[in-house]
Amino acid sequence: MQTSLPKAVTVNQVIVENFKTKSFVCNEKLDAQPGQFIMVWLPGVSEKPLSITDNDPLTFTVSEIGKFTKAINSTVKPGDKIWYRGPLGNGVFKVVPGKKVLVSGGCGCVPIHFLAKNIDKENCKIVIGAKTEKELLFIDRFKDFKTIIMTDDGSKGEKGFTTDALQKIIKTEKITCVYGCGPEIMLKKIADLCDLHQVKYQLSLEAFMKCGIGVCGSCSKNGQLVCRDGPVFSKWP
Amino acid sequence: MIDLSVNLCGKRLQNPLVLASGILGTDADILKRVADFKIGAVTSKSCGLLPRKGHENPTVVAWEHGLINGVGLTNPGVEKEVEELLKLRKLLKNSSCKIIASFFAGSIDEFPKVAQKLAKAKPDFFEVNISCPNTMDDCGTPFACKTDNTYKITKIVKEVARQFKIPLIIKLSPNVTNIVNIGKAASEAGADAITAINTVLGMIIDLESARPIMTNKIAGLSGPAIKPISLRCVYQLAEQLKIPIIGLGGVTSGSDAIEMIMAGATAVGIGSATYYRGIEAFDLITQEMQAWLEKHNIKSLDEIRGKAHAN
Repeated sequence: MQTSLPKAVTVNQVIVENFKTKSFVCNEKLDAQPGQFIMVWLPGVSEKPLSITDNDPLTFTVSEIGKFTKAINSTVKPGDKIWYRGPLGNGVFKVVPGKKVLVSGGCGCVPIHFLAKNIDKENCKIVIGAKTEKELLFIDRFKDFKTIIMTDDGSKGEKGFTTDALQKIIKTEKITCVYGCGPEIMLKKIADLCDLHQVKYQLSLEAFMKCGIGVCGSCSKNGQLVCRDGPVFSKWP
Repeated sequence: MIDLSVNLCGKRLQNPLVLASGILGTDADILKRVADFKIGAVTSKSCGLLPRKGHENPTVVAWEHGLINGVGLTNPGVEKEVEELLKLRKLLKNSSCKIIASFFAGSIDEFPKVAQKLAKAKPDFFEVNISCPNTMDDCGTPFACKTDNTYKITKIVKEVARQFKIPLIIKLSPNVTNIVNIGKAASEAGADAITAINTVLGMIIDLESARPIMTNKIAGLSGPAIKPISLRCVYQLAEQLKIPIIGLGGVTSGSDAIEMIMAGATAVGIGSATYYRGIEAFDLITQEMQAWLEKHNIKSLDEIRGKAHAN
């Protein structure tokens, strides 16, 4: 019968991404699709949903926002074990033909990174945004792509929001699909922009989760379950 | 199409399937989505007097033969719950699906207080959760483990239920020596129906960390593994009680649901099946019941209800 039990995996490498963010590279491959997530368990602390940065080898990225993320970043070292359930989620990023824009706000670049690895670089632009230069993530990882950097305060790239950059692109180029992950307010703006210009979109949403497998209802967004129906939606829930 | 409707405490359920409490019952929108499968009733997640965070994750995982959950009665408190249920009532204004409002309390005296507040949501039924197995640290042994507590709670909540003309369902625990005695206590104190069963106490251990996976360590089993336990409980209760039973525990297919009705259940609760078959489980189980009844030339569920007792 189908199970969803935590599985132990060894962390091989810990990469410091910025002042509050680390990536954990594990010692095995995970058969996962871009957009899927895992429930990472640190025994005695908690279990939370995290996006997949890369599946071969399995890599996930943790930005410190609370007790759990601080515990992972301060205690997990190379050689340590960590536990996860997954891959989870049925709503995944689907690569479509044509010109694409990938939009990442804050930590949203984690699933965007996994997607970018599976996408043709020629037909794709990436918009990366953060509050300030300090919070920017994965700039090096996207260096082979056409990237536009946006910061709220202008400390790096252009001053403004990712959606400002997206609006310019949508108005001047024929885009077939916009992919996005980041704060919900940004995602809603992307959905509205795309609807207005009749462009398809695929957005990865975030939610508080308990089960991660579609039974508890904690992650319901207007009746859609982020864990099971999503986390990627091609229609705003 | 065979008419699958059943009568529960004088109210017509268009279909015997009922969404179990604690599954997908967190807000009005998701309850509406379930109700749209044209099932008999949806049960909201149990609420208490005040908001409650519940246990730290992991709180729900799927093991080899079922689910285990130790959510710990996470809820927004009765005031917020009333708002959600009123919103649901509006969303269901063209639906025949009934609303069962589930609640719990930390002490015997608190139960009627929650009921009084929850009545403002005008649910079709009250379901009193006296049997959550996951809150022993702060709430003590579930009330449903003792006949006298079950009797007292049923009796005082019944006064509120009577005042608002809301049928009263008491949800029982299987983690007792004799469930029939508990069911009798509820029935004698005025319960209009019984839901049987809540989850079965259990534990799973992770080998690599050598610790129980659930944060609450001990938690509640559901899903296929517990179906024989729920069938046994429903069978025993049906033998001794005159009030209707919502049979709940491990039903994932149409044949499971028919088994439950043959054990004596009036309606059939569905919970963990949504993990195994998705939210469409309600449609699939209904279709499978229809097909089985047609094949056996049975015109109404009344023909098979409790039939396992006669043979």
